[in-house]
Amino acid sequence: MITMRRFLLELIFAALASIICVLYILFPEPHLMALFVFVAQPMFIFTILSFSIRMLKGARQKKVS
Amino acid sequence: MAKVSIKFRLKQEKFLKLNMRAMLETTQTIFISVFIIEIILVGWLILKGRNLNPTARWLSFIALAFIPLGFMVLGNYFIFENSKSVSSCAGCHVMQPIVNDMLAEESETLAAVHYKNNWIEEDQCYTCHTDYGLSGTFNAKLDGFGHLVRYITNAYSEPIKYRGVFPSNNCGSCHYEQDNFLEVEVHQNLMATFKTNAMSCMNCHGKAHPKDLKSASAKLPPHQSVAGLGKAENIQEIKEYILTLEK
Repeated sequence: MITMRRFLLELIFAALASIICVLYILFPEPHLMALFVFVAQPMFIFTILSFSIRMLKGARQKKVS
Repeated sequence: MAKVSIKFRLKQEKFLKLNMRAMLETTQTIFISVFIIEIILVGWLILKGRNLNPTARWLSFIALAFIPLGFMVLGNYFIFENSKSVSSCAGCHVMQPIVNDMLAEESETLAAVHYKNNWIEEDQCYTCHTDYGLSGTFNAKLDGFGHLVRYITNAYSEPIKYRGVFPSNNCGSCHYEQDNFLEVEVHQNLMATFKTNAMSCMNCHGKAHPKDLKSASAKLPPHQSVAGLGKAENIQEIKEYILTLEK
């Protein structure tokens, strides 16, 4: 069974990246823009990819069993 | 092909820009609303979502794929649109003397004269410093990205200098069609030279920005600040403008 504990890192990354994103939207200054571009975006990409890969793997395993 | 009048083009541009401001304001509201949903979802999934039942699976898809993707798209849209504003350029302290000069009533540089006469209504830095066409916008964004990297890594020396030659066509995109430009004989004779960017307008018309850049903090009028963009008065302005078009 897939548990949310496996997605803990992704959930933390998604929350952190969202906080950076909102901070940049509210206070659009160069350092926050850089944080969004170089930190938040990679975090989002990691989250999306990792979640998708794990869900696909889970679905495949289900089919096999 | 029928020649589009400069007045009509400026009207069109103003309409598009006002819409863009309203869209930026909407983007901010969407961001904050979705952020609250995301935090609630993440908190709920960490605390309660031990087993991935179908509901939790859908919620985790929203929290870990759908919302992050939306944030990335909207965030990049916000960067692209917001980076056109004068307040965004003034955000880096190295730009503040240039912006200060542009805003100064007593300054006679080209940028200041254009600003105080309201010849360019909004996004004055972006309007002059972006080459026209899609490649112009792309190159401007690429330059801006380079500026951001250099600024945050402190890889620059002050005072900053403009690299390369300012293209005459950037001035020409507004001036080439104006009667008072075409009336000048020298302009007519040199038109081909201007269009190939072989001669700079500044050779005759002076510097666009001051040569001596003194550091000072930029004081932007409220309508230029990002917080004031697309507020209710702008939306009202858009409605009034649409009404004038319908008439």
